[in-house]
Amino acid sequence: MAIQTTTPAAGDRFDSVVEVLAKANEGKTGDELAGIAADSDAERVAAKRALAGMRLETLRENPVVPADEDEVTRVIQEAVREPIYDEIKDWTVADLREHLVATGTGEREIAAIRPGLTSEMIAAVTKLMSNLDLALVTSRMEVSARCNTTVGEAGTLSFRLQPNDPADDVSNIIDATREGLSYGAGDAVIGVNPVQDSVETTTRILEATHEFIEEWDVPTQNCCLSHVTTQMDAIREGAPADLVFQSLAGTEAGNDEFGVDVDLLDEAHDLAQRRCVSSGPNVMYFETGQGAELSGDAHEGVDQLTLEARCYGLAKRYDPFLVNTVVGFIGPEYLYDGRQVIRAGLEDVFMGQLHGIPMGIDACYTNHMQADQNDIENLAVLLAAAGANYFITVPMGDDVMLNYQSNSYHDAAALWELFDLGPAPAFREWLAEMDLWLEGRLTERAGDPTIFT
Amino acid sequence: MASDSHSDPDEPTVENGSEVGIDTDAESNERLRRIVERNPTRLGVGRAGPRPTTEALLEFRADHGVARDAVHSRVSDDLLEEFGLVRLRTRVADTDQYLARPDLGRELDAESLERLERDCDPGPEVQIVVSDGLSSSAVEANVPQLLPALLDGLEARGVSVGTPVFVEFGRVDVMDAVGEELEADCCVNLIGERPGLRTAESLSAYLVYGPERGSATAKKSVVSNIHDGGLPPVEAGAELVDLIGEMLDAEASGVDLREDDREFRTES
Amino acid sequence: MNADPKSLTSVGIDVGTTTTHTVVSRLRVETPPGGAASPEIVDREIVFRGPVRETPLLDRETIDVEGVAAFVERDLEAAGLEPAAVDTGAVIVTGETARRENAEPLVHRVAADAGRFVAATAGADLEAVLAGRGSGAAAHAAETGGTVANVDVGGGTTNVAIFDGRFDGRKRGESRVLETRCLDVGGRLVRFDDDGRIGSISPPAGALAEALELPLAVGDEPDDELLAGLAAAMADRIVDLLEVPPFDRLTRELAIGELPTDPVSLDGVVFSGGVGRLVDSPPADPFAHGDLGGLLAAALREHERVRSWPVLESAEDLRATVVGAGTESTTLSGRTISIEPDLLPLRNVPVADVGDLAGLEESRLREPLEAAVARLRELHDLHDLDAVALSVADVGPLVYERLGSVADALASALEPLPPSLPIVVVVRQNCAKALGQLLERRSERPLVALDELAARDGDYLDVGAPIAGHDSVPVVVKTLAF
Repeated sequence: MAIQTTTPAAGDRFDSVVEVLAKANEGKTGDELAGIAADSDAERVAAKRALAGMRLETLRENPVVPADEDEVTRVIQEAVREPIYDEIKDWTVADLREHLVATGTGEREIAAIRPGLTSEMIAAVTKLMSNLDLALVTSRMEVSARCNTTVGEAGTLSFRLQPNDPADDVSNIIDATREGLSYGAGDAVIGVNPVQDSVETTTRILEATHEFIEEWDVPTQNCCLSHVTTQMDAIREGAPADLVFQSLAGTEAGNDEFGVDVDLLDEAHDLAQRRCVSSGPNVMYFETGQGAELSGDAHEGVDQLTLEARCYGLAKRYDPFLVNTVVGFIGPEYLYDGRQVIRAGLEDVFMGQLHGIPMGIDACYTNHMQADQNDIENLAVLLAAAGANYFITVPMGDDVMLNYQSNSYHDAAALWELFDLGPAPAFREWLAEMDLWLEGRLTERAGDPTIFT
Repeated sequence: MASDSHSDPDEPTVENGSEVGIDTDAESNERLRRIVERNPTRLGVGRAGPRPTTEALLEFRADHGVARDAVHSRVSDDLLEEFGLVRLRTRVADTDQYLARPDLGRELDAESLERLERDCDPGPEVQIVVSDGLSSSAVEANVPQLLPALLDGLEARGVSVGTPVFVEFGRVDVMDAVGEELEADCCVNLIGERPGLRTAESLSAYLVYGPERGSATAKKSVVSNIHDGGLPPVEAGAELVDLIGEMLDAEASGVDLREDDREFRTES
Repeated sequence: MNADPKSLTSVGIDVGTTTTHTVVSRLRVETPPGGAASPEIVDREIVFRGPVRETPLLDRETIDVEGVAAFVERDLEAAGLEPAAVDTGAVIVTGETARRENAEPLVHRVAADAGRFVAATAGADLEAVLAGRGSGAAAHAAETGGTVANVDVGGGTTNVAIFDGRFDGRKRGESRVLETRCLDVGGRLVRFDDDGRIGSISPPAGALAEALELPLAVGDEPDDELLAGLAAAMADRIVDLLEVPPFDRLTRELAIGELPTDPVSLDGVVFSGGVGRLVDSPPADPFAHGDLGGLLAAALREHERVRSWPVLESAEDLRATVVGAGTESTTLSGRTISIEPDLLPLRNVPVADVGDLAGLEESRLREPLEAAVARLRELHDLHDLDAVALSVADVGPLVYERLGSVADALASALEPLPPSLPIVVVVRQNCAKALGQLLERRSERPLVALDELAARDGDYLDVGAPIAGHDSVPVVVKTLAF
């Protein structure tokens, strides 16, 4: 299939939808590494033009990985609500962009077309949108979800407390939990990445966090981010988990690299609904990130943004409570610097929310990336303004277990103050009861982990 | 190493008044001191309003600066001369390209291939490669202790060792190119790990039996976390002597050698 | 050895003044994440508790070795355990039993019967430490960062171990033993016959009675007031042992081994042992055990000073010593070590402590090493031994040149020892493999170099074969003081 730009001044011709999507992408080292990026800014813009004129139907009918080869494609295609799709299939991608940014478009209008969109359409419109477009439209969407607490409601900004320890020492994990809660972080989840992916470790971490949550009556949920099969074994043996976690990829091959497929995820979701100790109904937690498929050699020639969108298409199947991109974790060969990370962060949260999933972000960077704490504080400000559901926070921004930097516990209160927001209502009340929060601000007691001893 | 206040237990982290948000009564101070001491994370840092204290902020930036410098600085010629390492280079032009193009860091440039043929002994049992990887500081800090323990240990066991080389802008897999060119039985790559804020000096040693370009990562064995606060470099050198002995005996490495508790990383 | 790399089966056997018991426990071994870490015992679970049996005696001075051996055999059978399936553990003779004539052959016999790598141990200090680990006092210190004393009051002796939980870079959940204090005071020092008369008075009780001018004699009808007075005097000695120096003359006379010179401030006290556990839960009939134990426990409970102490509950309802012997006697070496597997296991290896070499110049390294070798030669008949051990606290900076110098000095200092006698070098720093390889090149001797361990003069080591999948060996650091 040959695709021509609507205004073929540049004389560019593209051979496939996949190529247009790839070349229309804002510059990312990952697409360059894969050898699919535009060679020049002129070519990039030509591809954007080609994409702008492309009908949504073309995107539906040309999924980036064929349905008969890829179950992620099938999941996305089968989820489309046909009558709604029929209403919008003749829109161009430019029409979709202009509908989203139009005055008068809000969550209600977006919700009306959402079931007709595929991940490829969402990826396509993202490629046409500027950073401010992305922030503006994200701010219009409100996607909330409920486990023990509710995240994503208007006026709230939630935080995952990530108390990782390089030796999986649960007393250290609890210390870091104490510190985080004393700063008001932790209403999204107390989520621990274990070093050792074993049932024993997972159980130990789930038990310790659960016990702490019960003891202090914290309105939140726990999660241990080991492989989903490890968590399932732990839960079957009685470990108290509020959420079940898994990393997702946007292709079947990529998920195979992660050791999961749709059947397994269905089984995990079913188990989580029956056996998680939380009240639900949303009991799944997913993490994603641009470039994961390429690093696992499972990108199928598709650009990293489109693959990221497809992760959300898959995640949506499981009505998750939390989904976040771990945007700067993967390294400079995929997202080179602060600029690319900020762009990707805005894209990912926008795409997640447009899919209708409750999207948060781990705004982060590694030490070999051309970025520093200022870059992710910038991203946090942008995404708090845009209305991301939650951010990841770690002690003083430094995760010594995963060896990268993210937002600090401190950033929670600063962002609330800046945008006149607060944590989830139940958690807000609890903070007030603990004398940590008064009239929208932390109290004098805040920041002292020993109040929880 | 991190210069943050937890490394000095005698110096309480928080003491100036209510603004830092921490009770100053003795009992709670003692509990806080214990939390700060036993945790490797940055706990008990206190706050100024909703922001970190200036000291905590500067410590964080200082540690990040050390990590950044480890990525961006180069290994000194002194080290190469001291150990007679032949200097080679990959196809990478500069640090920026190194970070963005891992593929170019796995192959030697034309001049290096020539030098390899000219200056290095072919067909050794063991070929040693040192690479800057993501931390030149790791190379500078550990190689001077590790290499003599490794070389003397191999010599004592009668293992023939080729001319050791240093590869600038090297990735882990550059060892495959070097080993294949020299037809070594076994190749070792001592390479700087991605620096963290706790230490920028951590080194990994990757080992492969029968090096050939494009071989799977799983065929490599690795000893990681080599630095003064982890596996001391001199002890790592001795560990590699034993591991190389095992590999030469078994004519295998990585998953083919044995499933054990050695951590496997695929970062670089 | 065991097939499961994740756990070790350990037996603990305590042959005490009054009673003998056996426990079987499962020790879970894990290598913490991070490439450089060494395996640790992360969980200790008691899976079998044998019945508490009266320690059989042939006469007042002789333990019935066959009787004890039969008990242990029966207990292991009841636990469903073949001696071949036992990975590690310890037998300890405690209290007055340790001083019986045949205590030494007894403990070696029972250890050999129980499994291939079960350590024979004896000594009041070790007993004090094991009891404190078994009662949970040590764990409590580690958890709270405080200083906690375990007071193990048994039939023949009272053994105090003081644990310091302040963090100083130890492995997780461990606390340092600050000191031990032991005393010849226990519930069985006075026994009653079946008809209620005083059946025997052990010398320490006799000495106490004499000092207090309490007219007690074998065959007497017991006088409640006299007995209560004696029990109160014993309780005074225990309080004295914990609260001071300076010590009372009587306390000094009854002390076993050295007493400390500096007072210690305590954040917690745990009572354990057959008598100690009665301090919390008094029996209805104080004479139920036919001895003074009930009265001594009551005297402690009512002691004015004890009431002011921060007394903590013991985690263990059994006698803490046997739990300690079963669950806490084995430690693991570092992961990177230098061993000749054919040499292992090694048993009863005497240790000479070389001390700290860190500050010494190269030329002076030989001195302390030679002195340690000389002590080994002087104190032990080297021909009867599996091996001898040198323990080095700190070799100095872990640089290649320094380790070479230490290896030179070691090789030379070892010269006077018989060439076929295996040498165990124990270092606290993580450098055993490097040091071992350097030493290998300088000496033909059979050699085992272990790290991340500490041992002192007078200690003995048992060194087991490597644990499957962990590149580490189990070690029991122990005493053999009869």
